[in-house]
Amino acid sequence: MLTKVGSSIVILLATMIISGCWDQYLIKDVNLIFTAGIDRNEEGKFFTSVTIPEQETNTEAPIVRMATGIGNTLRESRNNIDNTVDGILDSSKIRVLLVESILAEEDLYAMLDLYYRDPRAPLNAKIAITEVKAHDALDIDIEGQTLISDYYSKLIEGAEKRSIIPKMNIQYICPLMVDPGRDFMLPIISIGTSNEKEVALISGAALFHGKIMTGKISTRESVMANLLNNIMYEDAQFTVEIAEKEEIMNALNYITVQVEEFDRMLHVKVNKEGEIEVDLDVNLYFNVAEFPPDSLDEAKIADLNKKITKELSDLATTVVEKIQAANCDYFGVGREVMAYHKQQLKDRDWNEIYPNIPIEVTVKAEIIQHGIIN
Amino acid sequence: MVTNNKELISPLQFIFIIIQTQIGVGILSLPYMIYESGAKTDAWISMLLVGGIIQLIILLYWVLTNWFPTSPFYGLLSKVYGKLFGRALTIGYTVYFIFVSSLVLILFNFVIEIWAFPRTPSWAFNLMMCILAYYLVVDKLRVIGRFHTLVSVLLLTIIFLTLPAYPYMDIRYIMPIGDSGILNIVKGGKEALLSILGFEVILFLFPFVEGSKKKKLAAASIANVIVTVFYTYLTLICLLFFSPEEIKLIPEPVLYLLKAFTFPVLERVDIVFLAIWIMSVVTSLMSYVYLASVGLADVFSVKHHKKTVPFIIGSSFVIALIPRNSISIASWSEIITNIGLIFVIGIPVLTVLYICIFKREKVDQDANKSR
Repeated sequence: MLTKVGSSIVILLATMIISGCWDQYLIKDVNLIFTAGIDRNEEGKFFTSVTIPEQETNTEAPIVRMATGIGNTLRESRNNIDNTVDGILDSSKIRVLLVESILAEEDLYAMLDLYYRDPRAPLNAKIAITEVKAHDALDIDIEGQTLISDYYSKLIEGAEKRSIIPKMNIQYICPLMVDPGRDFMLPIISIGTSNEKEVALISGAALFHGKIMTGKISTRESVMANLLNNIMYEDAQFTVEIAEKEEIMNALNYITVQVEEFDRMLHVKVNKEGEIEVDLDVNLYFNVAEFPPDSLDEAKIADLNKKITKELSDLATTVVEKIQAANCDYFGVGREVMAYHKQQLKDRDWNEIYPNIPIEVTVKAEIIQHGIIN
Repeated sequence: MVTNNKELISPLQFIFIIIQTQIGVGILSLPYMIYESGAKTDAWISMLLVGGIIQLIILLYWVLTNWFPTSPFYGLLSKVYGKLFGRALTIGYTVYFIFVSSLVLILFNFVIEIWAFPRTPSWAFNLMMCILAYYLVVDKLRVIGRFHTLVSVLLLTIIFLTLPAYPYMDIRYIMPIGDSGILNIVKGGKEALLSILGFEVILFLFPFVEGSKKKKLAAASIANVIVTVFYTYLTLICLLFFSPEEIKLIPEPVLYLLKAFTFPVLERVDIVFLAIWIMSVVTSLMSYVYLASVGLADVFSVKHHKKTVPFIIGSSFVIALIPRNSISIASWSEIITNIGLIFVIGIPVLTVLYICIFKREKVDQDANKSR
């Protein structure tokens, strides 16, 4: 049994050790990075831009500072940034990571390796590909929005809600990057104008093959791509041309429908010779969001169903063509083949087979609701 | 004949001691280890296979200890092989358990350093763990049993923490089942066996458990089923969450999986998990230190094992400071666990064979006498 002296020594020792003097990490000593952008400069080196909100206690709105650095690796560029700012840079709170498209077209994984390696890394940060320099995308001044990180993460979240892009973060794309049987999409951000001021916008989705960006599709196409991949979040809308005779008022030629429900079926058929055929069926059930000609009766709805089916079938076919052309196995056909038909696949390279397999797309559209008027 | 611990443990405590000894440092990297050994996406089958093998070993232990219902395993060794050779074996076991204790500390430090506390020196953690282990191990077996039972609730939280991974799983990752081939699954089984060593505690504790022979066996089997299911579950979760190519890159998949999720308020779930995992490590450490100190007490004929605990803890602490980099840690771990197979399976099997062939009658007499 321990004596009183003994036990007090143990208690003292314990408090010294438990207080964790070695690994304390005080928020006042660090500069938290909220967004980072990666570009390539003329020499081929990484040009990293980061935004750091300054924590002034008295001011109402935080002041956001931007710092840049150049390096052969991202860490080096980060260290060079660190030389220019007071305090230590801390990347564990990054919310959005912007990557210039020319870098993504070479190898996206190379820019994420440091995040996978670091236990404190922000694996739930969003990634987006920028058509312009990522630095320029971070440098724009958004009215009423002092935190650029907030702006971008909400911009991307908004697009996710409308099913334009799949919900992805640094961690979720990792299995897809290394999996030969599945690929993914990321949002593309470009700079446009709204109310005569520069704004950033989601202009489409970048298609990836493994670690490499190989193509892109528009936002309208990417909504269809997501539906074909059995993904819909809060909302998905299509505007479809239905004109029989050209109306002078343009809006009368169109209908905007909102996906209420949908079913998707993916059938992968492999015959004995190893020929692969894919049937991709999607049934879409719509709610009419806008249809100025009004007076939707049964006959009219049946007619509209036909037209919408036709238009969306064309759209789906183009989407699948584009996705296949980019060798982006977004629907996970390869995974399906590898999981259930491995025998027939033999030792053939899936990457070479995929772009040429026939994918039969069937879209059926049906209006099931039309808002509170007919 | 039960020399130093008059007090017995209940079958329930027995179950939890087994579970807590088996579940320890290995849990974090188990899926990776089995995957890498060749079993690939069939790692979970390897795990189930190992559960079956361990059940057989438990039966063997049971048969062995039933021949000497009242003497603990160390005493049994002297009885079977004679004083000198039996004592040599006891020393062997003691040294083995000391090394296992230090291995637990080494692996614990390795993980905690890269995942959570990069700047805290390893001796600080070792000291903390050792103080904790000492505090409990000097007490009676029943107290250790109570502690192990108490902290077992935490294992449930580990299961809860894996729930957010469900939407991101893909069953197709493990298809087609059995693709790696039987040979590779067996190879994976060996790796899995090394990761869940700790069931040897059954052999040493059988005489100290209350209740009939059948109850004891049932308790050990229940523990084995729980551990096997738990490990198979974690292996499956990791295989379904990470794509096959990705697992190769991730030595601690269980932690990595948790790192991907954030909850409001809770930013890093992996740290929460580590905090729970530390309890599992401490309990494993305690069990090994206990086994080693009982062995040492037996060698020097000390009445109570509490006098030998400081020596065991001290030597494990010192040994744990030796390996410095991940490569030497890996080779240490490999050597110690492989030697472990001799002590955990080899010697008990040989002993059973030896008794069957040479000493059958004498054993029966002994068993009758003690009844």
